Amino acid sequence: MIEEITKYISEEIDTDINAEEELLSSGLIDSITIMKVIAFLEETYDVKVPPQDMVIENFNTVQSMGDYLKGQLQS
Amino acid sequence: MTQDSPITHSLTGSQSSIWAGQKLSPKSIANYLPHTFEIEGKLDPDIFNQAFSILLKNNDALRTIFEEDDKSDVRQIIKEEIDYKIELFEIPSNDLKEFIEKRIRKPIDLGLRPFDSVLIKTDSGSFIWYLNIHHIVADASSFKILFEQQAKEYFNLIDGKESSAEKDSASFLEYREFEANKRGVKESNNEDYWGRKGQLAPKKPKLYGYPEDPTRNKGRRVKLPIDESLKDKLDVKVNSDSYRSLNPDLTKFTIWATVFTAYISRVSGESVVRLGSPFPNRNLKKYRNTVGLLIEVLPFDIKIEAEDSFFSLFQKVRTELFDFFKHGNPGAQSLQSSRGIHFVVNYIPLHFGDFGFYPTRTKWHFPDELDESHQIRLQAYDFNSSSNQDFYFDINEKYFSDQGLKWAPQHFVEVFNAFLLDDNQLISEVDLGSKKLFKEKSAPRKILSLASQLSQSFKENKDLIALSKDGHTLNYSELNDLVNRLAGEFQSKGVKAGEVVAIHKPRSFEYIIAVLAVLRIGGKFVPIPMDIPSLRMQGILKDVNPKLIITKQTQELSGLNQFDFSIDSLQKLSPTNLENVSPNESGYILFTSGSTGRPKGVEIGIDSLSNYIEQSRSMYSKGHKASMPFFTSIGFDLTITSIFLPLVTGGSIHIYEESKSGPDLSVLEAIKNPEINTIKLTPSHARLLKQGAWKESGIEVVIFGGENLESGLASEIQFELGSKGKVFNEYGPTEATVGCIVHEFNPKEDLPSVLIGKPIEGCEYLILDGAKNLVPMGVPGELYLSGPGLAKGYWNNPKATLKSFIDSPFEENATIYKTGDLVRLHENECLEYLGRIDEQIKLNGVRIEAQELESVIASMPQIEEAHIVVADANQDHYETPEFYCRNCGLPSNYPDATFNDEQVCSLCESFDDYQRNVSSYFKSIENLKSEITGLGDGRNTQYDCLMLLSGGKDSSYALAKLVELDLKVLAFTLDNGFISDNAKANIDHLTKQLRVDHVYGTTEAMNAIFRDSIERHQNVCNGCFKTVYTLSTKLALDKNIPVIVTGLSRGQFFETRLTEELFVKEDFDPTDIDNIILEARKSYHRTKDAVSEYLDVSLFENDEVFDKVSFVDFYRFSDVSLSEMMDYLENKIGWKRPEDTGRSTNCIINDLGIYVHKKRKGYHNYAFPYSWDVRVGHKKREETIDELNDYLSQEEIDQLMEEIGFHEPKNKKEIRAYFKASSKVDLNALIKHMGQYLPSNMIPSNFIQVESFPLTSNGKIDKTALVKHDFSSERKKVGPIEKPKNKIEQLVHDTWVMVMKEDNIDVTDSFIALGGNSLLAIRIVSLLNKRLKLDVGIQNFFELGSIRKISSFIESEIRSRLQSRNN
Repeated sequence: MIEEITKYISEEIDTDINAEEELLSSGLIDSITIMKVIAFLEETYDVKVPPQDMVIENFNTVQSMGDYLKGQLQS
Repeated sequence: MTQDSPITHSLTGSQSSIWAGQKLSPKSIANYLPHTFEIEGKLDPDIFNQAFSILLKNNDALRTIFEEDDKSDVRQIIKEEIDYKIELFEIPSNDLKEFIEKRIRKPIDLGLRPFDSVLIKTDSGSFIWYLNIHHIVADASSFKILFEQQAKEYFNLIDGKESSAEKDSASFLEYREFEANKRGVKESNNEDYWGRKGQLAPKKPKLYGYPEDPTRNKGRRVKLPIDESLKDKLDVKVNSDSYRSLNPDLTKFTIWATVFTAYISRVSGESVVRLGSPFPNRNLKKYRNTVGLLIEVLPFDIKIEAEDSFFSLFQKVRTELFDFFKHGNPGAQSLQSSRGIHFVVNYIPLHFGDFGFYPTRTKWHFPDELDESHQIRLQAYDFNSSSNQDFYFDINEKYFSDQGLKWAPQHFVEVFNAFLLDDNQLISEVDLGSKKLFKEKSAPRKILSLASQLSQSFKENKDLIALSKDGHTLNYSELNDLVNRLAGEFQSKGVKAGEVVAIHKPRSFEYIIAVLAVLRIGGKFVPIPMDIPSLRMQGILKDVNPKLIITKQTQELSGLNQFDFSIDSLQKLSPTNLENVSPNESGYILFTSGSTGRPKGVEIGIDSLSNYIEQSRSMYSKGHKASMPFFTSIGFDLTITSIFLPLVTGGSIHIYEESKSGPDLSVLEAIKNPEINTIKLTPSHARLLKQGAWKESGIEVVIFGGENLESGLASEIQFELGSKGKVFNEYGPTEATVGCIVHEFNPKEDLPSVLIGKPIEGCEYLILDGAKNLVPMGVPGELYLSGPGLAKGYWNNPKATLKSFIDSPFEENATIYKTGDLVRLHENECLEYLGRIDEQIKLNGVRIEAQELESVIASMPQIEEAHIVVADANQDHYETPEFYCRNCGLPSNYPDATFNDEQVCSLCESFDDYQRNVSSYFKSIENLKSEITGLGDGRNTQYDCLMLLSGGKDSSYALAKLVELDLKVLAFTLDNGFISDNAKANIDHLTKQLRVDHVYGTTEAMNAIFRDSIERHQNVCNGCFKTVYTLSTKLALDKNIPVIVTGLSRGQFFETRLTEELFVKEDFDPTDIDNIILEARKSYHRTKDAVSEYLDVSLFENDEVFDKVSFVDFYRFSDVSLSEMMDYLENKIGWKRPEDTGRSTNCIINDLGIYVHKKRKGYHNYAFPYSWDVRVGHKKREETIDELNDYLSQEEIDQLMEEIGFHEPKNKKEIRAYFKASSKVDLNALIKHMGQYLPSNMIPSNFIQVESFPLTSNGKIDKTALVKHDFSSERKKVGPIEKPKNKIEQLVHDTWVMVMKEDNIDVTDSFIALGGNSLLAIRIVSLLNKRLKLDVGIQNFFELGSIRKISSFIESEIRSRLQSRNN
């Protein structure tokens, strides 16, 4: 999962990233690109991200995205 | 370098939008992006220039120029180099502002270079870099990038370092190529997403009700008064748990979009708001530092409901924005997606730093112009990183009055404030200055009673003429005497104060005397007009239970206390002294013409009447004696004015009695009476008058009431009356006593309808939205009235009273009357009437103001009058035929059927010409066996063929004959659930007797197929047939049966597969027809409908099935007359004519199909096949006419609908524009005319030209009669349609029009969507092939679908044919 997301984001912004890298707070990706990333996650992992979950803690790194998704998929 | 023509490139979607705007107004500077950078430091202008040259080299956007080619397609060209020197100016600080403003107006010539730049040296020795780039090659980010590059290059040069252009940044050209590729790919249906947005564009909202003023084409930027404390409060919200998101900017953006949406919705009254916002397209690293136009402005729509609070709206916006960002992509913007964007929220989270170590202030100047279509742009940005965002409104003055320009920023901030204060507040509750609009209540005024007004006038005008009719007159003292005598008589009959007297008299002296006498004894009068239907009269009398009814004695009213009198009989009575009466309880009860149910009696108290008369005296007569005609219905409250105004002013009432028969045209007489100086009438009355009638009359005061008054009519009358004449528009529901809001017409007011004006003294009003909140100025809302004019309520109907007379939401113990009328307040404090709320029209989901439409239609020169009516789309279109073709019985109502003088249809006439060909298509029964066995080739030993047996006479006969021919038959019947018991009995009997194997086929989807068939073909047979063919083909395939035999009648051949055109060919060959029919069968089975959805149709995917299973039509081989057939069936086989279906059919549901077809298409669906049966000699004319006229029981139809779950559209409204004109109006010209004023989605699709408009007895347009009136012959569907562009398209179009019997076909319409089927396709294709000498297959036809596509296919066919000929 982590690998897949990392690959997608790297392609989307045309820049290599790693799973721990801060994406939003560093300005590496903007809030619009992250929307596309969320849309990708929703489609790929068949989850629905409710608007109130769209906060920086859940999406700042690929790792945090993975954690969030696991939480969603288990619940 | 070679001097070849340069490489040119096309424009991106967003560039195209900008180019289109610039082309439209070439001098516009709306797309300039002037920036200044105030750099506090001493710059070296030469080095600055050198640095800029490097920028020009590194950024292709700055070197891009635009040229139009010879086809005026615009192309962009990247120049190798651009020679530009930044000029230096030394400007004193006082002149700085003016210098920059002037510089901004300097045109940028896109053919030369896309920017303008200078360097300014100020007094203080610091510098200002001015850089203005055309939006077509730059966006906000580009400025930041250029600014940073310039600083870097400048200091590199100062330090003697090399240029440090970032190599990993892509050029603008590379971005555009990337964009073009993206645009081609339909990534996650993006194109559809944005294209759909374009199609669903809401109509242009009017803020504060202000109509667009194209002369004010200027923009202004207003800084929004949002102070630090508000910004702090906003920050708290942004970081709160309910609002925070991925980052604060995103949250802020969402909040601004929410507040902006709320504001726009409130001050426009719209419930759907579309905002546009730039989408950055800079997510890929390589484009992050690309200078160019990368942003695209894309739309998002927010729907606001009455119960929306700020927080619930915020949540909606948040969800919508997620979608917006998800679908945003390079290439998304197009001319289509840009439609309907009138408001832009521009949230720019950009910060410009310093110029190296020189502190710098960056400023974006507003060029005082806005995009034509943009009304407001909300700008939020903070370039100078002071962590203090500023907010601006860029307002297009075109869309605002002077007052509106002031309100807009104020009200926006009020909405923002309300949000910060309480985000649970309902958006509709935010007060936007409306409370201030409604003045403090003044103390109740003393009303002069009607009795005193009258008695004073009677005293002063004793010898003057009070009443006049047909040369007879009564003066005031005579009138007074008669009134007293009658009043005495009433008293002697026991009528007491407060009791009801009904008056059922024509317009006469007696009527007026009766009214005055009832009031004089303190009673209530109830006028009952002479033309009232007797049931309604009985209802009213039962309701009011009058003490007395004044009428000519009649049996019908036995049980009531009847009384009649004449002037003569009164004069014979001895004068009586009236006992003291209290007038307090007197008044009148007027019954309003409730369209449904029980009529409502409006009870008006004497104070209300007194108040109205007192007011109208001061408004209309002003000390003069008003002489008025009494010519309108006594049951209409407009007439109250015509009776009392003359009497209280000492004028005379000129009485015009109702005509005994026909329409009441008394107005034509009244206008000619030179004694009359004042008239009250409806606009419809006025339209009956001839030009010049007013000029010749003695009328000085015209009072309109009862209907909306168009300005055009008022202007004409004002013109004829001259400057001395006055035209008043009086508004008032009966429930608020005749009139309570009045406006004196002013020809200078440029509105479609005359305003209704200001309330009369004492009357107060509120304009409220659906949730009873005050609406802002200019916004349409429902009118509520209060004050002394309000009725006491509905007589004897407390339920209705409580519903309309409600407690004021703003004042305790106050009642307001809900008028049901839509109005808006103008800035001159006058009200404008916008129509009835329950007649609110929605067209394509857009709310339409009927009066706006009516006035636009009527502004077409020939058109005199127009009325918009909402009609029921479920109307019955069936017309009884006038005659039937003498030969074949084709009814005259068959669409486009033409008949000669002998009433012979054109089909019969031309049939003579090709009858020979038709007979050569048919074969003889001797050939049948060999045909069937030949096709089978002995491959199945069990069955030679499958026979489709419906149980009806045709298939039963066919089956028997097949058996007789010694063929091995499997019979197949589709049990569609509605085969009659008699028919089933026939089937069982027949198969047993003939010893034929038999199977029933069924499908659970049968009802769904019926429903689909009804919607698609307006009959049930098509769906049923297709089911039969599908299931039987599958069965034949499974059982390896080579042939399916149908029992279609010859008439049905012509209905379903043969057409006239097939036979008209000179070199006629029946095998051609077989081939065409086979092709048609293929496409028939591959067409998508309920059958393809519910049944397995995969067997038809390959052509193989059509080789394996052939169809043979029994009646192609059998030429048997009906009598012969019946004789055979009944006597030899024992077949019994079904008696439970009512006709020769064997299927009960058939009736429903016939019912729907007749209703929707206006003719019987069997009319055509039956005519062929007759034509080819298989049926008698009389029999077909009998069957076509079979009675359909509504009860049975309802039951059938219930069974299959089909429901007729209830309440499906259709908007019709009825108009009257001096000559025949070309509807397309009318549509074009309307298109100049209205967006295409506001133009109705039904226009009906009428000779005249029917009026009600009150003299208003009778909309019910208008809709019921049969206008079908004059009716034509129209809409903005794409017309043929070239000759081939025209030919194809004309062929479609002829065959499809539709007048207005759009060349992009799909054949299937138009209701096309394979039969129609065959006709069209054969006609086209014949005319163009081509050989286009029918399969191509279905694949291509539209006129346009088919035409271009034909064109390429012709071209390749020509080429092959040339080669």
